[in-house]
Amino acid sequence: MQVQRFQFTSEFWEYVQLSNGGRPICSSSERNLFLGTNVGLYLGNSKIENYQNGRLYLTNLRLIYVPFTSNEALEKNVGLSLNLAYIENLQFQAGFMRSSPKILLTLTKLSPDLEYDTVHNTLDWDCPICSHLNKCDLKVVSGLNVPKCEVCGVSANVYELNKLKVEKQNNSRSKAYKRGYDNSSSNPMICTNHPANRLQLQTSGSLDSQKHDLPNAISSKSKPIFCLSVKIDGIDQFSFKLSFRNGGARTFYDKLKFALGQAKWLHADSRYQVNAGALKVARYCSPTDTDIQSTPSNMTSTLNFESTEKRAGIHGLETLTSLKNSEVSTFLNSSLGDLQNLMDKSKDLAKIGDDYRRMLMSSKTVDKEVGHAVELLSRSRNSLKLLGNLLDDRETINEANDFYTVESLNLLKQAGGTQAGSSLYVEELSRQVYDFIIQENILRDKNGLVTALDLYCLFNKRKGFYSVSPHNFLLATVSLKRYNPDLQLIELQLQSLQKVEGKTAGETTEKARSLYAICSSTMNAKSISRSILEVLESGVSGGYSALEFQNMCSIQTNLLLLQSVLNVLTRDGVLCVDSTLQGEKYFRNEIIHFRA
Amino acid sequence: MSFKFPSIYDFPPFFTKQVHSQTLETQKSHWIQLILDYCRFNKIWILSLNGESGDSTLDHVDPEDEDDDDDYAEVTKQSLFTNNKIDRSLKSDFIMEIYNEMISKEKAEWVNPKNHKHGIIVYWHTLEEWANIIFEWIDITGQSNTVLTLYELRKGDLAKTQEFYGMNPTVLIKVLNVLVKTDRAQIMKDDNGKIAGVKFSDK
Repeated sequence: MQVQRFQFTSEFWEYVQLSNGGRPICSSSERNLFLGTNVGLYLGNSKIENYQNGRLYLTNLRLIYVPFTSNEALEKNVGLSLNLAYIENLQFQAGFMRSSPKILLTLTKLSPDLEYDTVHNTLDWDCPICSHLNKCDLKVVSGLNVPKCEVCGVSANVYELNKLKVEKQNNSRSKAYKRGYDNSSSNPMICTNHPANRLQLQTSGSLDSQKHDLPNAISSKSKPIFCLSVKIDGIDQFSFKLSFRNGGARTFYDKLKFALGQAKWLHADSRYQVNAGALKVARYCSPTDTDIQSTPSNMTSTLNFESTEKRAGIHGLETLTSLKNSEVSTFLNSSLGDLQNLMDKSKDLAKIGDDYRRMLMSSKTVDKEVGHAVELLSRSRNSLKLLGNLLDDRETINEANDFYTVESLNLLKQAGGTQAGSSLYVEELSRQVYDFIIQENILRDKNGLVTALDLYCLFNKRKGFYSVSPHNFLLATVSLKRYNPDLQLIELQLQSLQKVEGKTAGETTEKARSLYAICSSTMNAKSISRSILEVLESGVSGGYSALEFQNMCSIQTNLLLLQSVLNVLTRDGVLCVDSTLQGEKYFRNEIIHFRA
Repeated sequence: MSFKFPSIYDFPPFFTKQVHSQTLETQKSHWIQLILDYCRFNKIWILSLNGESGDSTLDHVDPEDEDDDDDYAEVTKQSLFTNNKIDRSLKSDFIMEIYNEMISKEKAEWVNPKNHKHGIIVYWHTLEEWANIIFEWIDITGQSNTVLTLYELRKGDLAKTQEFYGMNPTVLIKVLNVLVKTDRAQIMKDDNGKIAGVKFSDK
């Protein structure tokens, strides 16, 4: 029997691009805070069937849901994001019997009538026994008429209900004020941009055409499609639930609550200009594309301070911080254009270099050309300065991002404590390591191979003093192949087998010293072996050291990998080794084929 | 005329103990064959730890010394185990391994099992083969039922062309003991218990 599916889209949720390691790509002002795994999404009380297992990242700006994929290497995933500013209310529902603990998100509703009628006259409360979410009329709540749970019949705590009632009333007052402010102000952006205005409820039939329009490349307008097994008519489309099947819901709730508080402040700060009275700042206009407009050190000149008040106290400090932030973000925004311009400048500089070279080489001096060159050089001075500053800024922002990334990782470690927590930590660490390898072009810079030890040092150095332990790092590198089949962790045999004394007398075991390395799978040991044998067969001198092999055109590969291949060939009896004080040389195995 | 070494002797890895087990076995068997051929050509009955003739180098070793605390012996340039042409020599531990292999294959024997410094007796013929060779020579030369001293057997004019000419006395006594056990010879000793002569029986 075919189960009927109902689909709808929500304007609250958006597709987001993920990094190569399957992690959300954060903006410069965004910080990773926490992560939960095996999370399912619910619309009201109905499961969203296509999003029942995934990782949920919490940043200071968004909730990002990354659905589970069995083969991440083949299917590059896309995630869903929900801006924290859309979350109006938050509730924790403890697990009961087989029901996992859940976090209920109530999203901001636009319709004033709906909001007022359905929300402000009712009060949502959680049963302390079964955690069922009950609704009751605000008027009903009193000491004499205590509402009871619809499921287990337990009475509500009057004190808690009154507390909720007061909070609700305060919220509604502030909303009323906000609505009044919005209507009276000349800023129509708040209303027109509100997502609930654009909420579209669609039937499954009308969505068929959209299904085909969902490409791998994410367009900013595409919205995720949620599949439900029940009709959406009776469901509150503004409440979503997050079900935590692997636990960790309470910690996530705490983090989310904290992040929500901060996000609300940031939202209010940026949208309603909370501190506008203290200092009014006109935003910086983006530079034109033709030339570099931004100036590095005296950036404040592009920001117009119209305030007559002194910049002192908390408001002053806030403003200064805000100014600095906007300065950095402006730099970043203009960096792409600037870099293009710098590229043009560098071409000019190369031309100048050529001109000077020609001038020095020839006895004649062409005054006109030199004058032009000097002019170009003087014009480029500012650009070079700017490049230096841009690089500094980028480094600072990267460092800040790294700090928060590692901090969120450490939180995972602390939150876990159990085996599940530990594996979650290692999995996330593995994603971070993979992103690090890709972003920093580690393999390309290291001739296609980097030892696990080197990578460990580079990673720790990049992430600061919140070091990762070698054991966890090794565990993380083992699963790198999961994200990209082109990467492999190999064990390089550094030395020939050596005998190691065992615990008991006379017991000796053969042990080879080895080193872990990460390389691309295109580095094929077989092809290297073939090249080595070809060289030996055509060689005159008979034997070569690993370095001599490496210097040959046909075997230009990483020395460690080459040494490892040589050791393997020697162990297999294909080659034989000549050890001297000067080092080891490798020959074709003539010993085994010798006939007296 | 000097001994002609096989071509493998000029192959540098031949002087390094190989990792691959089959290659190592082959390498050791090549070395054993080389030692046997070399000793046969140069009439070396006893080989020291560093690969030189035992008769010349073991004079400083006290025969009563049974202290075997160190099997290390520096391999000299004159040693069989040094190839000056390619500037390679065997390490002493690998030499010991080859010697032990020879002993297990009955191609050699420790002169003094309690003190390896005395070297090994190299048997390019087994003791039985040596016994047959000597007994055949006695029969051909008509020396049956006559008493011969050890010197006459080792350095006698009649024995000059024989393979056992110049045989080490220790080895010769071991061969004579084999003949005695098979009733083909009779050892006569003096009052001090030293061997005065040997009388061979008819065939």
